[in-house]
Amino acid sequence: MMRSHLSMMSAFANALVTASVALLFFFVLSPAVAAPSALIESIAATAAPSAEYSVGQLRITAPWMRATPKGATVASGYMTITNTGKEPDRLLRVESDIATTVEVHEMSVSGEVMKMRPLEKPLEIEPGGMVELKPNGYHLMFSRLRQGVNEGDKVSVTMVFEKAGKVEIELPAAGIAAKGPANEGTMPEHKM
Amino acid sequence: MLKNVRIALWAACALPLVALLAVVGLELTQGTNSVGAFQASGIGGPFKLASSTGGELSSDDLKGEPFLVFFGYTHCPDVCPATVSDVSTWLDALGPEGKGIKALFISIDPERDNVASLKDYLSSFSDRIIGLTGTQDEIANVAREYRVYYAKHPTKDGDYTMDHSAVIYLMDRDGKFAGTLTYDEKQEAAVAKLKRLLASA
Ligand SMILES: [Cu+2]
Repeated sequence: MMRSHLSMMSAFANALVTASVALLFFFVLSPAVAAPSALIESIAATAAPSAEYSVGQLRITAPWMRATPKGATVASGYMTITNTGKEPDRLLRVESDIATTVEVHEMSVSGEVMKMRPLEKPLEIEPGGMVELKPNGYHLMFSRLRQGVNEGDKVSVTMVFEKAGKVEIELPAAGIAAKGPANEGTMPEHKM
Repeated sequence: MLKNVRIALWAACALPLVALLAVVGLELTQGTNSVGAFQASGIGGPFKLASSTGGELSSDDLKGEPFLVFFGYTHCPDVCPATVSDVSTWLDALGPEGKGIKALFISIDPERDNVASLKDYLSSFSDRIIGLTGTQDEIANVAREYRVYYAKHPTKDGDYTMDHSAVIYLMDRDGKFAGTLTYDEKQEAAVAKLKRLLASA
């Protein structure tokens, strides 16, 4: 009795999260619906009109990266990962053809000192929670780049989660000065 | 009696106000100059480093010109390119009147950043930004002069990242410290500070 009540509640919460994510997407990303159809066909997991991926109970939204400066050997990638399930999930491995290694790093600034560290433990996404990979925070760190990234490129990345499994996503590259995904790049403020 | 109460009441109101003003004042001065005025005179000093524009650039070459200087490394994926591109944007926003300001990007990772790689890297941003590198000793020296902290942090795969101060210093025509910009400074504020730097004799 109690149980079914609870699961109804959580179903309601899930629906709410889904609805708000969808609504957010509608407003934030609707100008950029021009996602290449080839990209969408290549992904078994989802068929959302814009850059949004579902795998198992996870939802990956707003993936992006910046174009790299000439000769750069590193790059970072960003996205939001939402766990709509009831169990935590962990990001075990990330791979991409553009780099020898891809790791999750955390950037932090304390005082005036900037530090960047690989995560000691796999990135965990709590049930009903959300992890943002964004500038000055968590990011996918592409090291020993095999090629530079130009504005407009779509960089394929394979992410392997403990429970949700494998998902292939694409990170569209915004300009070198971008503070957010291409269509948000002109947003003036962006508090940390 | 009544008068005394009134005075006491006034005092009770005024005291927190004075305290508040003091705090606000303190924050204001620290906001425009996060290093703190008491340290300001110590920031800066002579240097001579290899330049991405060829040859060497020394502090003597900069006499008579205001400049901004910041420290970073090219193997940094996030804050460094963002800072370089912000600085480019601010210089562009200054327009022709900003031509008098030089911008220096000093590598705190001289092991990996040579003149050629700095030149390549900066070519993606603005030709107004000069990259400087040197020997480990030269870099240690200039970092000490500018009170810039940096440290190598090895990672598992044999690579390393650099911890470093992400502040941008404004230096006046005499090579004296004139203020700071932070790596996430808003454009209007940054441009205003740069204009002030240009206007100062
Ligand atoms: Cu990193």
